[in-house]
Amino acid sequence: MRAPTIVGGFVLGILGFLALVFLYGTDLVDATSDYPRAADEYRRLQCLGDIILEQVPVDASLAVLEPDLPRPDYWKVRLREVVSPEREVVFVETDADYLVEAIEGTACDGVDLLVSAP
Amino acid sequence: MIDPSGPFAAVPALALASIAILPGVLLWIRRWDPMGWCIGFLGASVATSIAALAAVVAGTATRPWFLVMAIFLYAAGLFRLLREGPLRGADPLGDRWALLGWLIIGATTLVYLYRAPVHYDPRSIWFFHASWFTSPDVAYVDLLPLPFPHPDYPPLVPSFSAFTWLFGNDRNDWIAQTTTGLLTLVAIGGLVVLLTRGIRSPGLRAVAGGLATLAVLGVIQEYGFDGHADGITAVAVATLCLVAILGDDPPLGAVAAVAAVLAKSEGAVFVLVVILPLYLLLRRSLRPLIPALVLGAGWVAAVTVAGSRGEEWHLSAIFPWSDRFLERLGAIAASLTGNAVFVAAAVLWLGAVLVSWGRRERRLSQVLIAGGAGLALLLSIVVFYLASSRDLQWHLDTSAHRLVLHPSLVLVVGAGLGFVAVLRSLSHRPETEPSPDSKPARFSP
Repeated sequence: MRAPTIVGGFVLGILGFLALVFLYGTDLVDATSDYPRAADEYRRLQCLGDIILEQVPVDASLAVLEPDLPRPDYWKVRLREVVSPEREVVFVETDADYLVEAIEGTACDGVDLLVSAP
Repeated sequence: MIDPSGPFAAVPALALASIAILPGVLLWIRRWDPMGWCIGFLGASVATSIAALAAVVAGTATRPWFLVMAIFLYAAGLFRLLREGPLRGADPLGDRWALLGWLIIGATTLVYLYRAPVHYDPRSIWFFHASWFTSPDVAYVDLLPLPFPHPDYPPLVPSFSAFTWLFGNDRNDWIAQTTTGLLTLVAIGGLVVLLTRGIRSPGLRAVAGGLATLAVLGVIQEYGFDGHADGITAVAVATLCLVAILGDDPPLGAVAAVAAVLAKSEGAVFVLVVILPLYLLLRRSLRPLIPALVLGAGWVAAVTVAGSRGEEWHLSAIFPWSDRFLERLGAIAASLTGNAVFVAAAVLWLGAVLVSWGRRERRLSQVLIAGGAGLALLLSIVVFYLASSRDLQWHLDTSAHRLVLHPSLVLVVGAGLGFVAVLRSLSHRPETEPSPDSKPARFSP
């Protein structure tokens, strides 16, 4: 009775451990293969973030990262993005005039910025 | 400005921040060994969140409080050094083999740190809070009435990032991501050292430490290294469980308790509804938990007084006779117990139970207690989702995979207790021979 229990315990332990190592390895591989996409995303965020950060520091991470999330009224910034096969286009809707001016005066590499009133 | 230069941008800032605060913490806690470094690094992050709490209470910008905290730590440390003499511990690096094994495994996490910090939660919540902590003239308390970025969330991760930013280039998401990852990795080191330090053979200890680190990383995955606060919270909660079960190392327990409470709201709930009862059940001294309870209550009181909106809860839904209970329970249970990490951790834990039972190990009771703690954590998460006012499927889809880390990691720690006992018996020839570097089991079932 003792020996089968011990052997069974070791088998389960090894299976559970290998499953965890497999999950960790898969996650690491995903992170590695995801790097180019993440790097592109980061460059885009950096460009847009830099533009908006200089004008509305509070809004930077929110507006850029979650285009569909309703913004609190006092931030008055909304971004909607359309990714085309040829070129990424980012529409910015804002009623903050100073932000419109700031964005129109700037360009991100590989990104078109179109600004309009809401 | 956001610095795009990658995770290496964090190195000089981290080095300067460490010089600014870590030696002060080490002088104060007076430990000069691997565990001392772990406690010191966690203690440094805790110190920055105490500064953040002080700033919220005072209603001022946080920067001056960082300075006050650093000066206090150095002054307190030097005072103790002058009064009590040199630090304890002959070897600051401890066992080279164990350190090497742990470093090799831990180095694999660098892949995570090199990935661009683009995740929504870290940027929009944790890094965003940090940017307010670094502001020279804006008080964090002004953020609290705002509805979205959850400003009431505890400050450990963003305050530590913010402190590091002061030595870099203002807001820098690479630094924040690296800081969080390093914090998690150091906490994992403390957990693994505590788990394996009863093994006498350095070689076996290194192997066991490496395997344990791999298992812990299998549970935590990217959530400890991409800017999320879930990894550090889960490791802190699991460390607390281990400290309670072993009845060992109260300083690590104290700093892990504060880290758990101040890292995420879930950590505070887990300490209250699982860890505290566990300490009472095992008749451990509650002293290590007192700082955590005081600071956690202080943070909740401060943000509430400052006008934080908090969450809405449907507490009636946690009772079986509620309609919402039956509607939601099935989806919650399926989401949590169907999680691959949880299933793997449960299988590993069950293996440890069988091995300990078959070998008639004294530590079987400890493995079972860890399983009970994991189950209690799982049940508290079920209650959390039952009472949540958010759309259930959305809530499960966006957070269940992170919350289930906590019970999964406690199960892995329980399994570690069982398998380490086997390794100990392999490395200790006669079972009755007294061991100079291991303490006798203080828990009797």
